[in-house]
Amino acid sequence: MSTIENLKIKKKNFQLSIKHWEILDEGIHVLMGPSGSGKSTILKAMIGIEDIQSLNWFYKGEDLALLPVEKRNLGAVFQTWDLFPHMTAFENVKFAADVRKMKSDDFNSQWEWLQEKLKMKTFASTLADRLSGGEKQRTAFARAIVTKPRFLLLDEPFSALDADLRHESRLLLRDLVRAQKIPTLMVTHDLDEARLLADKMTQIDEVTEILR
Amino acid sequence: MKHFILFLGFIFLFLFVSHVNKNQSLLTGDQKPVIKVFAYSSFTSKWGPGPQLKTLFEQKCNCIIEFVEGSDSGILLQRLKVEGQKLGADLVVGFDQFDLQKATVEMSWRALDFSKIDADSQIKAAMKNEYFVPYDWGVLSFVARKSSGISMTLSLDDLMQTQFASKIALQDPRTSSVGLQFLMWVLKVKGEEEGFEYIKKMMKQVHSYSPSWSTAYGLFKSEQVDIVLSYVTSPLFHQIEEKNSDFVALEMIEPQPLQVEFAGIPSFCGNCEKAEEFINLMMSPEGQKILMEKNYMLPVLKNVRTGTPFDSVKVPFRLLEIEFPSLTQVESILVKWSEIRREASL
Amino acid sequence: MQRSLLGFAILLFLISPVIFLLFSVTGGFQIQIDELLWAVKNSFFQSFMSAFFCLFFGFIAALGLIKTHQHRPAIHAVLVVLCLIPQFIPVVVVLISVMNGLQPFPMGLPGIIIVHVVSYFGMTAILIQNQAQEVLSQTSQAAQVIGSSRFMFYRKIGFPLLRKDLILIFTYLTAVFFSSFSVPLIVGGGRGTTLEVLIFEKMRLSSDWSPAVILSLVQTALLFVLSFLAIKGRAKFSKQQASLSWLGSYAGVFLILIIMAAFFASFASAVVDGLSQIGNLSIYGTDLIEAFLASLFLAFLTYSAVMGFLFAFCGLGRVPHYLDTFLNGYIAPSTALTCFGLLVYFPADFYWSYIKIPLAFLLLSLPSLYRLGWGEKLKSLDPQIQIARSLGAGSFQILKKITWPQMKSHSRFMSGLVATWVCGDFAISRILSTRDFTLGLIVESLMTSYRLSLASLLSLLLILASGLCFFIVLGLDYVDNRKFKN
Repeated sequence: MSTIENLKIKKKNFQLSIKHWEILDEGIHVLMGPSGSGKSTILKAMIGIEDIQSLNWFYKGEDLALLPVEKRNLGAVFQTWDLFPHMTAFENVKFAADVRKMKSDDFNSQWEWLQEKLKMKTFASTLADRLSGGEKQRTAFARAIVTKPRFLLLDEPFSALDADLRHESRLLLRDLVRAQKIPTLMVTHDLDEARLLADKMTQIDEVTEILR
Repeated sequence: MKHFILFLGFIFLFLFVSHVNKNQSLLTGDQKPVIKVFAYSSFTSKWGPGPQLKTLFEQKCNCIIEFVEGSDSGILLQRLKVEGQKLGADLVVGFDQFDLQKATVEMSWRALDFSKIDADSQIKAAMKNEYFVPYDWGVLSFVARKSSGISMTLSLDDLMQTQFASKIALQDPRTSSVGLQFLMWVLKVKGEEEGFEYIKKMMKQVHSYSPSWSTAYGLFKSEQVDIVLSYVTSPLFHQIEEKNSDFVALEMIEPQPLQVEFAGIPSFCGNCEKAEEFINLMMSPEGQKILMEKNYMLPVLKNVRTGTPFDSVKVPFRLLEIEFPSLTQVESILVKWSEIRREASL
Repeated sequence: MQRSLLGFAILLFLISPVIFLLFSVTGGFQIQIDELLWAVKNSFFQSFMSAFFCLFFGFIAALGLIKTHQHRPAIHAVLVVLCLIPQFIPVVVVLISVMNGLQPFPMGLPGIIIVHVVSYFGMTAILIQNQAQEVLSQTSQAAQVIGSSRFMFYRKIGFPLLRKDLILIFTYLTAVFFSSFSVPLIVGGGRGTTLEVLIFEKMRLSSDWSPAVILSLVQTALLFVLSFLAIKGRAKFSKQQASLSWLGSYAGVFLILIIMAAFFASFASAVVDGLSQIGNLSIYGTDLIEAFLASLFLAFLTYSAVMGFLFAFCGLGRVPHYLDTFLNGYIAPSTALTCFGLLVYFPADFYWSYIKIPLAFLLLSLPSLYRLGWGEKLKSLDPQIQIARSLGAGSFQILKKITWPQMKSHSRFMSGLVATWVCGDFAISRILSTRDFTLGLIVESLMTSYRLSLASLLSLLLILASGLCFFIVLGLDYVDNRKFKN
């Protein structure tokens, strides 16, 4: 288990705190809650891109919150995927590998596997801003996990897809994280999604205190 | 792409090197002393007297003249105050009688000997100071086109006639010495109280108060206005350069004001003797002729005009005495003018 | 920490001329309230009226650009060039041409408005057309299919959607005209003095610059307030590019052609006048060629300075809130104050002109470039920067791989625009340099020595230099984009 402790966030119109929360360190842990309940804020705080007052995140004996963002070795996929539009799908994924100074042999084998698994061969050389929604999402996943991060954080990654693609994508994700054995925290407000994917589910009001 | 950038970089370098090289050779040529002359831009431009005086002087002095420009005497004085000592100003050219007090208050100057200058009698009063030598002068008047049908003789009060409504180009006395000359002229001939009343009426009558002489003259040349405040020598420029005799300087009934241009040497000069020699050149018959022909102003020395087209310039019989108003005087007059301007626009 | 320092350094850099002057002036910092209020009133009045008419004519002209954008690209390109020409031509040349063309020319407020409109209506039209393309693409197709008329569309959909953008453009124009200097100085007639002209008068006349510094701070504060009254621009950039030609009108095309034809006709008559005296230019000899090259060189230096600064700015990644707030408010710094500040700080030798002039242009143009869309484009990359950071990318990696590749083209255009302004400048160069070494300065010297027609003739060379400058920049961009696509 990894543990979140003493998380305090103060924003203009609300304050949020988590005293103690245990997250699975394998499989998919889902954080559920309605829109505007602070789920994304918690995720961003864990990544290190949110202004916070305090946080301790213990994972395998290390407090990840003490590390700068780039040293935490995390993968993340947001609702909007945020691909780099001037790069191709391949270049988006390669960027993540270059940043982490991944060895080229490791990258090549990982890339082969991802292409196969995510069916990316047909659009690997296409510029990101010309991809379809499903292709963008798969590219975002590939970019997030190519370097085998210690944790994968997902913020409603399927909400922008249409219904029939969503189901397929969820299953793909589940297979991916199991194959790569990457502990994953996903936030969502969709109960069906949570039931399909979660190895453990947490309702946000079980662990947080919110003051508005 | 790389080749394109390399090509541009090469052009860049070439431009830089050729430009620096040219100026470098001028400046460091043979380790000659460099005399820095602060002057306004029409003095130093190709059309002005500066380049010719520079060539003449450099032939004899074994030195290099470097001009530092300001757009007019006001900017020049500010520039001098900010940079003069850093840059090593040796000579300043282009003050008029309204700048002298200010120049003396803000800086100290080298005393000069004017006793050998055989000046025109009309300009002798300008010699009554220790530091600034007059090198040319002009008489202010209104310039018009003969073809416009305006009377050749006018009084200041005639300018209030309806035929001149929005047809007179004047200059802002805060930013133009010619403009200030007009203001002082009116106050001198009419007295302060009546003078300011006149100025109030003129605010409604005038076409505009341009920031500089050149802008006002531009309005006149493009026929936006019928008359402009300028110099009695202005029509000569059009006769000589443009072969156009349509321009005429009007004769005013009131005594007309003189504008005198001065040169001075700051006390922190590095090449003071050379600077004095340059002034001597400016005051020689040859230098005076150059100043006259390039500046289209009247020479200080006697007899320089004889035999030249400038001989035909009708210097008005009645001229105002040259005065050197104090800084406080000028400032209070300008404050009053600004108030009138403000009220007129409300 | 590094980013905070960089942000703070940028802020300090932008206000550095004011800081130099504050440390060097020793006066009493006293101002006349009556005079201040009068100048503020004049500034507001002339800037609001100029912006209003500019927006009005700009909108009509934009209809012409919209009409020709998709189906008549060649005509559209010509119209865009015509719209931008007054931006490339030195202000004094625009002034001469406009004043030549209107006899008698109405000095004062009407004259100021006319010159401002002629100078900026084209640029306004381009801004409106760009925004219309971004904002109306999605809805226009639907409306067209439904059968809406153009009038109905604008009334019910177009204007409500474009309202924010029009207000933004209006505010930008107001700020530009508020701090306009040459036009009110020359065309204002001396009666309706604006704050910027008053600042110049104070600095020129008096040894005590403290009143000028105070006035400049007042002007900056007013512009801050003005800019915050306007709603901020859009962060999203729409990808959809539907045809809007049914929303355009040929009336706009005719307006552009009529205004520019009148402008060229009066400019041409001044040039033809100058041609009769072309022999007089021989006095310059090879100096004209050198001045041409020097103008280009100065433009390239300025281009490099602006590009370098924008590159460094991109290194911030996410723009700190305080810097974004500052730049949204600090739209139009005082020209007079900036120039005198640099004069006080830098050495006076001639060669320093090559540093001072590009620096002056960088300081004066950057805030308005930021507000004109460069800042919004940078901010739109925030999500990508966040993701890159979460992937572990360092600041320099993000700058090199993510931010700069997407900002380069826009930055190049902005830098090119500033470089062309430098090409034709004389006002700033006159204060900061010590000799006539550029074409702009030579033109101004001609004007100050009776030779107005020659000044107009020589300004053709100026236009050539400015145009050359801008097309080299466009060429760079084209080559770079082709490389990307390949």
